[in-house]
Formats: sequence, structure tokens, C-alpha cells
Amino acid sequence: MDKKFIKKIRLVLWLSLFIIVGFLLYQAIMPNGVVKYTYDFSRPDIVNHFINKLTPKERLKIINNNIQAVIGEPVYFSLRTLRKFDKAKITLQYQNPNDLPFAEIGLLKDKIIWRYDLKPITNKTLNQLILAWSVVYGTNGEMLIQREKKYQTVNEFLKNLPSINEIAVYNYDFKSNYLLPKYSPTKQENKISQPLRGSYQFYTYIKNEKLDFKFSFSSLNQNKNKDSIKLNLYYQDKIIDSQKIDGNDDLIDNGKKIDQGELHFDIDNLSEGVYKIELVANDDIITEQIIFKQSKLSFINRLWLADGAKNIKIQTDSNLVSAQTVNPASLQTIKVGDNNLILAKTYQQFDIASHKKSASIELDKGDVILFGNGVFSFDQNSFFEPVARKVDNGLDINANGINYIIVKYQQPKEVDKWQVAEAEFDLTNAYREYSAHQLGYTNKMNFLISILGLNAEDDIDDKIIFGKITVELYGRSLLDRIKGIFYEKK
Amino acid sequence: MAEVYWIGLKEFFMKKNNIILQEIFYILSSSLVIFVLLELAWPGVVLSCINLNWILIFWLIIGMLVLLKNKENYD
Repeated sequence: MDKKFIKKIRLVLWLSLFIIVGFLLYQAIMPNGVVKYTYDFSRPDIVNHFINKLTPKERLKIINNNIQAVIGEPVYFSLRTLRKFDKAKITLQYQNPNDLPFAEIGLLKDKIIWRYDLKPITNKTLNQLILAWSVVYGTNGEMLIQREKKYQTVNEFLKNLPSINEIAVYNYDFKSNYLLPKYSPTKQENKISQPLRGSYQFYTYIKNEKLDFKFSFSSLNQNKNKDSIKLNLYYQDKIIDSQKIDGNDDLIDNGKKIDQGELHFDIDNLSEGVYKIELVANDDIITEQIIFKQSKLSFINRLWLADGAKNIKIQTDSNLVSAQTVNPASLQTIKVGDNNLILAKTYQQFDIASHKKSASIELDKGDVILFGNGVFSFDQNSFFEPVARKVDNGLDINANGINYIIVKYQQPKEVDKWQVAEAEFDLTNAYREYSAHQLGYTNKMNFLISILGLNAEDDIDDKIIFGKITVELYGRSLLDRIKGIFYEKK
Repeated sequence: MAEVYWIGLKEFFMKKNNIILQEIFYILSSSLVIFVLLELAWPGVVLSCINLNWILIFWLIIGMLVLLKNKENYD
């Protein structure tokens, strides 16, 4: 009797355990390839294993009913998944009581140069222009906003593009074959001898000439990094050449500056057009000098002038110039056009708006990071802006003579008291963190929420309140994977 | 009728509870081992759904009850 009873109870208990383990594996594999996770900001007590809390804490404030308000930007959250997904659709429920004009959500794609794939949450400039200007909708969700209606369709616009100076873009993969009609190559050797720190990107122009760039590097050895350096050459958004210096495996942080070598791009027979060079390096790396034979060179959006640079003059077309330093000795007053940008504190970003098409920036000393929504150039003659401007809060539409805006943008919807914005991300080349020695595919991806003008350190009581984040993930189904294995084998 | 059935069931479990407790203890021990191994091999697969702390507490309580029940045998 006892033995029979023991057998029965064992059967029930082991069956329950197998069902639980089966359920856990099902949750991890998600055989249909679709899953949805929600993080409710009004329930911070509930631990969410998939969507982590917003950080850092200093930029958040708990207001009534446990609701979290963001008082500084940017804030970050991470998404953990138990398997790989290819696409994410994020729905953000928020309130914007201070009518902050510009917010974006971004997926981290490169951790060395902190590159995020940014998608719109709200863009007040666009919201207003959609009401005031003429709007034409395209077939793939794009929208053409025109000051005066000239084009009847988006395709007509794309086939007969006006001057690039008249076009602005936002969240749209805009391709234009930019050519400088009066350009003629020079054989003169140019040099940027102001040292630059960390990564950067710049545009250059080639026409019947060699692409000739010589870079000299050193390392500050302030952080225990491998100090590897990689240069990528892009043409029409595709890497056409790469060069690299492998870093030393002995991780040193003794603060002694050492020579890190040279890299040389010397490429012939390139077709006429705009080329982009990208330096991928950590903040220990200093570019001591760049010697080049091209006559056009403009740095894109960001430039870290290293310690040692003096009496620097830079040309920019940014309508919003920001500066930051981590070095107390570099606090100074920066001249931006006719205005002064006072860099009064370390580790804090200071901004100034310039409502001119171009302005000169003058700095007494280096170790300052410059940010802008345009390009920077060390020489007026080498300055050129070969791409359409991005419609962010800093862009002055009238000062820049923008007449056409092509965007992929959905205005946030109003649901009850909340605004709801959606963003879609391609996860295939997202930066992922994996746990060590695992057999599964558990990985973590990082997201950023940027709200322009929101500063936790100022005395202004402005905020954005978040209600919920919902992430819908789409990937290959188990059946597709199995089919894939057989197909690949064949 | 229900009361009679309930008393019968209670008596049955009073007699058998030692066996039931022991079997629950074994299955909880096995569950803990399986869950920890699964979690090591595939991080998050268990902890995203189950809080292992509760299983551990339950396992300890059951373990102590089993020991108390068998106290006479040990004495």
C-alpha cells in the first residue's frame, strides 16, 4: 500500500517539475519568435527581469503615486532577452507637462564611440511645420514637408532634388550624390596640428586625386584599455577600406604618454564624391596630427580638442554649439560668433544658440569637447557641409534657408492623459552584452532616452513623466531556425 | 457527508504525512539543483519567472519538519 502510494506521489511531483522546466524553456526559446515585455513606472517595487530601471538615479524624481519623472538627460535603460531577436518595437507612454520640444530614444550600436541609433519620440519643430507647411506623404511612411508646394509626390522630389542646402532630414535614410561643381584638387599638403582626443568622424571630397591622409597617434595611458585604433573609410555609407593598430595586451594606466604609431590612407582611382573617415578609438588615444592632400575636411557633430591645443579657431554651421570639459584648467570663455559661451564648471555641458548660417568658434586652450548639430572645420577654405541638415531643436529653419524637409516621423498619439510614441529598431547589429560561459543566448542591449534641454543641475522645475515602456520583440521562429539549419547544410 | 470525507482525508494524510513531506523534500532538493544548473547554463531562464529564494525557504521548512517527524527514530 505504502509503496504504491509513494509511486503515485512521486509521479505527480516529478511530472509537475517537468512541466515547470518545460514552461521555463518555452519562455526562453519563444518558439513563435514574438514576445512582449512591459515595464510599468508606477510600480517600481515590481522587479522586471527584462526591462531594467531607468538610470542614473540623480536624473529621476518620484512624484505622486510612485510615478517616475525624468528631470535630467540622458537616462538609460537596458533590455535583457533570453534569445536573439531581430526587431524591436518600443511604445513609450509619457506626459510632457513643460512642453519640452525634442526627445529621442536610441539603441546602443557601438560601445567604443558610444554610437546610438536614435529614433524620434517628439519633435516640436516638425509638429509645428506639419501644421504650417504643405505635407506630402510617401508610400513607405516618409513625409515631405515643403515651405511652398512644388513637388506632388515624394518620388518626384527624390528624382529632382533641389540644392542640398535647402533640404533638411530627420529619421530618414537620405541619399544624395553631392558634387562640388567648382572644385579642383590641389597638390598642396595640409596639416591639422591641434591634437584631438578620442574618436571622431569627418567628411572629405575627392575628384581626380588620390585620397591621402596620414595620422599620427599617441596614448595617454590613463585607463586600462587595450588602446587599439581603427580607421574606416566610407563611401555612400559603406566601408570601402579599413586600417588598424592593434593595442598592447598589457593594460597600462600609469599616465605616461607613449607613441602609438601612424596610419596612412593612400588610395588611388576613387570616383568623385564625398568620403567619410571614422576613427574608432577610446579616450586615451590622441591624434597628434593629420597630414592630408585633400582641400575639403569637415568634422561631424563632435570634436574633442586635446590638452595642449592653443588659440584654436574653428568654423561651424551649427546653430546650437555645446562645450564641456573635465579639466579645471580648461575652464574659459569661448567665443561663438559675436557671443560668449562661458565654460564655468567641469563635467557640465554649456550651450549657446547661434542663429547664423555659419559662425567662428575661438578657444584659448584645449581639453574641451565641442558638440554641434552641424560640422566643424579648422580652416574656412576646407569647410564644407555635404549632407542635408538634421531637424533637431537646434536647427534654425529660416536662418539656414531650409525649404524642404523629408522625414519618417509619427506624431505622438494622445491616449487619455498620456502621449504615446512608437519607435522601431533593427536589433541585428545592436551592441549586446553576454554572460560569460553560458550555453544559452541571454543578452543585454542598452537604450538611451534623450530629452533636449532637460538638466538635473539647473534650478528649472521641468520634467517628463513616464507611464509605461512596452517592448515587442520579433525574431526567427523555431521552425525557421530548424529550416535554416538544413538549408545552410545543403 | 462532506465532514466524514474530510475527516477520512485528514486521517489518511496524518498517517501518510511523513511520506508526503519526505517526497516533497526530495523533489524540492532536485528542483533546486535543476534550477541552479539551468540558471548557470542559460542565465535568466529561471530567475525571470521564479524567485529561487522562496523555493529555498520552503525547502528549509520542509527539511526541518521531516527532521522533527523522524526525531524518535534518531533518539
